[in-house]
Amino acid sequence: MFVAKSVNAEHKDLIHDVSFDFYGKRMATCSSDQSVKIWDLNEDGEWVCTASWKTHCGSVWKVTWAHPEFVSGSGNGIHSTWIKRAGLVDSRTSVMDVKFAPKIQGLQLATCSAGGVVRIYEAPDVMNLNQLHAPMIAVGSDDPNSGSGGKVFIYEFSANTHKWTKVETLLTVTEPVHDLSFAPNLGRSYHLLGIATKDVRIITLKPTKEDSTQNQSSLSIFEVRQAGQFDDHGSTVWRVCWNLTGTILASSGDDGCVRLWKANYLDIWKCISTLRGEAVENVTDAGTTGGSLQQSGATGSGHNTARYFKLAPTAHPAHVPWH
Amino acid sequence: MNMVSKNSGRWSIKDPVIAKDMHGVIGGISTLMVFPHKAHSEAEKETQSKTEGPVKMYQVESFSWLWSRQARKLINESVGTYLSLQAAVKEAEPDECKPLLVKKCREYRSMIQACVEDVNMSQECEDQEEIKACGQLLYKMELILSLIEILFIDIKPGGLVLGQLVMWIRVHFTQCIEKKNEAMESDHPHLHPAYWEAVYGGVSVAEFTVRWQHWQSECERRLQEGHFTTCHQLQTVCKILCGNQQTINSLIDLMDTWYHLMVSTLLFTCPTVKLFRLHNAAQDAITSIGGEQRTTPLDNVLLAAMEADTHQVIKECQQVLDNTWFTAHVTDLLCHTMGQKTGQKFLPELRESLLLDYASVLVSHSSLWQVGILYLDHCGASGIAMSQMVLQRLPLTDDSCVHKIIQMASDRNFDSIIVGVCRIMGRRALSQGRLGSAIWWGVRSRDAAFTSHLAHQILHKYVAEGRFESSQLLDHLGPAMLLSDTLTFLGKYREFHMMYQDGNFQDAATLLVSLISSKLAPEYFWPVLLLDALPLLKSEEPVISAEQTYELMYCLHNLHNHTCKRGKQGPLENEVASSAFIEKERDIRLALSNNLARAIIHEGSIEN
Amino acid sequence: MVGKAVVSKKYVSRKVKAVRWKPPLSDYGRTDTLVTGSWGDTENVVGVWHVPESEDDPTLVNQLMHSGNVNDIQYVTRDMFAAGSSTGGVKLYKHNNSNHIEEKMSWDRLHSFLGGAAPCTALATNGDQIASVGEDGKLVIINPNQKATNRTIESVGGCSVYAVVYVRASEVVTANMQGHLKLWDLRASQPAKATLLSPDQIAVCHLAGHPTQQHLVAAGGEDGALAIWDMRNTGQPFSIISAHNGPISEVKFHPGAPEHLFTCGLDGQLLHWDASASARPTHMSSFKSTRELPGGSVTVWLSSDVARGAIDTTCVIPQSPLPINSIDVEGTTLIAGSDNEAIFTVRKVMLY
Repeated sequence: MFVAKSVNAEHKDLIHDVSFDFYGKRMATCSSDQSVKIWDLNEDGEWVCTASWKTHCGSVWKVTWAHPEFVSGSGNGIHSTWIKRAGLVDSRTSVMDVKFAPKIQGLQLATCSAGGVVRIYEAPDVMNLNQLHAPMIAVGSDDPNSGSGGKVFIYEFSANTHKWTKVETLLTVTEPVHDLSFAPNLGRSYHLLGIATKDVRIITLKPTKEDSTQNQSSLSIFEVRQAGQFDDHGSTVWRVCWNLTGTILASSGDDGCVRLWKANYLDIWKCISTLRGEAVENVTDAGTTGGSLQQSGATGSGHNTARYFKLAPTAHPAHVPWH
Repeated sequence: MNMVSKNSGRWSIKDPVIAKDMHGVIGGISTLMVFPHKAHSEAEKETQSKTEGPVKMYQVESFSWLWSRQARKLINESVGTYLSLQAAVKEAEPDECKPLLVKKCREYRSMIQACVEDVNMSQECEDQEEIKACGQLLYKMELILSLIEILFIDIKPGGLVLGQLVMWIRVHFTQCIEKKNEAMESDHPHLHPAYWEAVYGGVSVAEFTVRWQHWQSECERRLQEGHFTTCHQLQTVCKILCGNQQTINSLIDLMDTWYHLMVSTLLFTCPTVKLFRLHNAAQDAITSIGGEQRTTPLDNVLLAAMEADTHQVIKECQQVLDNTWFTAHVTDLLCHTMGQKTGQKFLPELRESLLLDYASVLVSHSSLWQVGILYLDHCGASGIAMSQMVLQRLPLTDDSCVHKIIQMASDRNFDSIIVGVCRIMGRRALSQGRLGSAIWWGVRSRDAAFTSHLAHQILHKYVAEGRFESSQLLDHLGPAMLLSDTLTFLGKYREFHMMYQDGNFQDAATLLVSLISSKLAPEYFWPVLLLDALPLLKSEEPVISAEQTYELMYCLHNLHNHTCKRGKQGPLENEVASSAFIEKERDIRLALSNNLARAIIHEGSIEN
Repeated sequence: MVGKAVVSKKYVSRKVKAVRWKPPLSDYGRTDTLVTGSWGDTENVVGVWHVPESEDDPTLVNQLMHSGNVNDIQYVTRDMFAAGSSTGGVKLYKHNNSNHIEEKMSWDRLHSFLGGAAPCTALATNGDQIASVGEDGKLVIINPNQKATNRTIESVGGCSVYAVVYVRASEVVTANMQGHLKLWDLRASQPAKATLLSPDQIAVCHLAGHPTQQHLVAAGGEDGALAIWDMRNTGQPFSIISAHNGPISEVKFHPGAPEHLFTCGLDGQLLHWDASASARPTHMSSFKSTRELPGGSVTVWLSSDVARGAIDTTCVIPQSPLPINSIDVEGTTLIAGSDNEAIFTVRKVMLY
């Protein structure tokens, strides 16, 4: 079962991206209206816009958060001013995506641009980094020519040569790639990559055995396996996004649906839920109907906490077998 | 819970703006933020198009019964049993396992029963329907768990199960007993319509005796002799006792369910039924009562249990019960009961995966994360990895919460988590201007770069203000001082102050000079050190030796050169301190040369 | 003695941060009411519970929503208590005739630092004043019937203060994350009287004052050790005894039999410290300032046994897998609140 609560986005135009901070208690949104907004959860569990600014001179496509060990922000309070720490003016074409590296790699930022260039920025000497594995980055191209071969490339960073080298091309993905994302790795022996292309793909990259015995200077070799290929969206898939445990993948496509995917204990992936919008005004918006989740107990206190409403099932009120 | 689709659940949000196109971003473990969106290419084409109506985002969360206050009692109570079970199983001899598992299973059952009572008693002005649904859910859980106990865990020697099944029916289907009470309370019991129904039903759950067979043939004889022909009802009773299938089937309407029917039939036809024959009887009963079309998801669970199919039991449980609590605990029990048996090899993996599912629900809850961590301790490598991830990402709302996170991390030897949390606390304290607190966390995080940074800040502040803010902290750094050079310098410099205040000029002077000559002092602090040396140079008794004076002169010389160079380039870093120093520079030079002369004479006279 | 203790565990669906007995009507009377404060929930509450004389579980009398975590509760009078919140405020509640509570007064944001509210960490009262300390390092004195604060003492360096206790009507001791104890004389214009340093930067998490010997303070440390301080000799603690495997969350002297002391901790242990068997102290030369009032007895807590760390400790309840946050004891019944979302009621915890 799902419940939802609405947040008035206050943006004047469509939203391009939403990004949660490390703790999930702060959120950044960006929009075609050229603004970026910061949201904080207040004591009553409601999202409150605590900062907003106009940026750049065009639509803001992507927002992203760095690890809190690199940025100092107040957890309790609300920052009235946000300082733009560093402006990176580099690419001449539109930046399509931006992502921070995992904390273990230090303060690193990767961007890719419409011109087909991937840039990796690094703030050196933030702290001592103990690197256990060579950093990896996956890049997808939205080149519409499906005849030009694989569209997803895996690059690996070699600490010795200080260079990023292509170690793998995923030949099974030949359609334009719109988004891709590595799942957070919680104790798995392989990497999981979610890809948004004409369908949803889930790829596993398992480092081959010999690799672990060799020293760091040699490049990794992967055993690539397609763990799932799903055309449930029936159309182009635009976004993929993992949850923190790397167990659920959310995908959104041109069919207007958001789908959630999960693997069972045998690593068989399945769609577990589909969400869609309906072109009907929601009466529960007023916050008067629909079961409030918050149980008030035996108190009469008029605390106004955020109200959830239950989502209406469109087909079957199914409880999905997850194994 | 009538229709269950094997496909994915489909849910809708009623908002025309979002209906055209939406994206979803996952925050945390189970929060999904859904927002209206248009594909890049399209949006670029029609950048002028504005949306109609306000733009709204929706925070979507999975919701289960586990969030209710009633469930939280069960969650918190069962974790104790779960943990003691894991510990006991590890230590128990193989033959001790069964009684242990039975005991734990009964503990779970009594917790569920206590919850049922609690739900029934709740007078809070909550949604009545929700309370009813909650009561039903708990009832089903207990019903299934007790059957699982009979069929899988508490297996009697020889595989005889009927006695337990009769008890199971009697405890869970109180309809007959209620009818009996109803009939007995009326003035003329046998005229009451419920009377005979009660008698028939009562017979079907009567205790089985060893003289059953003898007794049954006696009944049959009497029946044939026509003893009961005068009373139709008595004849029926007798037929039941004789195990007449037709008669029993004709009374199906009195049975709540097929399992009631099955147990009744078995009792009078085959009381010594073995566990492995049970599924035939179950199938027969289902056919008699209307075939599989009429079975509910709950029936499927019970049927799977009768068929001894653990995999199917767990799978069906997920369909019936809207929570991960039940499947996780049942699978844990079953895994410990039969995980080693051939054909059940999937159990350990399935157990781990279901426990992870349950724990991930708990850790995404603002209050239950601690319980979740306890479960993750028993979920193998993935559990440990998830536990680390969770402990890192808990919002550090206040110190007391942070101490709890650190305690949980240190109990599990997650040193890097503790370091990370302390580092974040240190940075946050610094951004709030709380230097003392920042150093305390910085020292805890063993982060040399950060503590150096803090120590520099304190030194700069001292240069500007001429006093130390957190002197008590600095005076008692202890071994933590060695974390970074700057911190060491800071600690040692405070030591110098103490010695000086105590009038221990000789040691103070030696320490001061060593601070300068060891290059521990950052350059911007040299003027301060030289100014500190001034009174010592001028002291009545010479406390700075000739050699030490050379060191100070060398330092002054370097400083002079540097300031000259930088003076040409632009303004100095520490205006106040530098101007004070320039004023005093002549003074220092004079004092240095005087002291050198004194020291040389003094040292020379001692040698002589 | 412990063998006869009867433990009941009531699950209350919220983590309990503070439990306090409502004081009995007379010094030797019995109380049947306790109050609790919750933390870490989407909605936190302050609750009133009735404790039956039989061995049954406490039952809820009434509860009120509370904004933020309830970090501490202290009774100011017999029917009025103050609750300190993680949002930096303090609220005053009063029991009515049916024992229900209503909010009487509220002080918002007593504690704050750059960028927002600072959590209030602990409270102390002396009957007509409330002392509140917070993570901003401030000590704030308020009067229950006045909206304006009476006095605010700022700290330097902004180290979080974790504990506060009245040792005399106008003297309080605070303890902070660095393990520093500070004695303040609230009548003086320069209130700082003394600083006591526990070794090695170990945070002091809680302080308890001896009910009759005002110079005696017990401090529960982050390292799980209990320190006994004699405020007349501030050089170093009289004794430090390790007991818990993690920070001590609360320390409590038995109000009527103060040779008994209870501690609970993040390690899930609840310990009973019985010093009654310890020898009475011989007069030590180091206590030059010891000038006992006529009739004032010398406490067993300053005995040589305690100094050596030789003291009986027993577990009152089986170790819980989750922290025990708070304890209180009246007569023979001890109550405790835990992160297992339960209230423990331990009857016959000691002979008394």
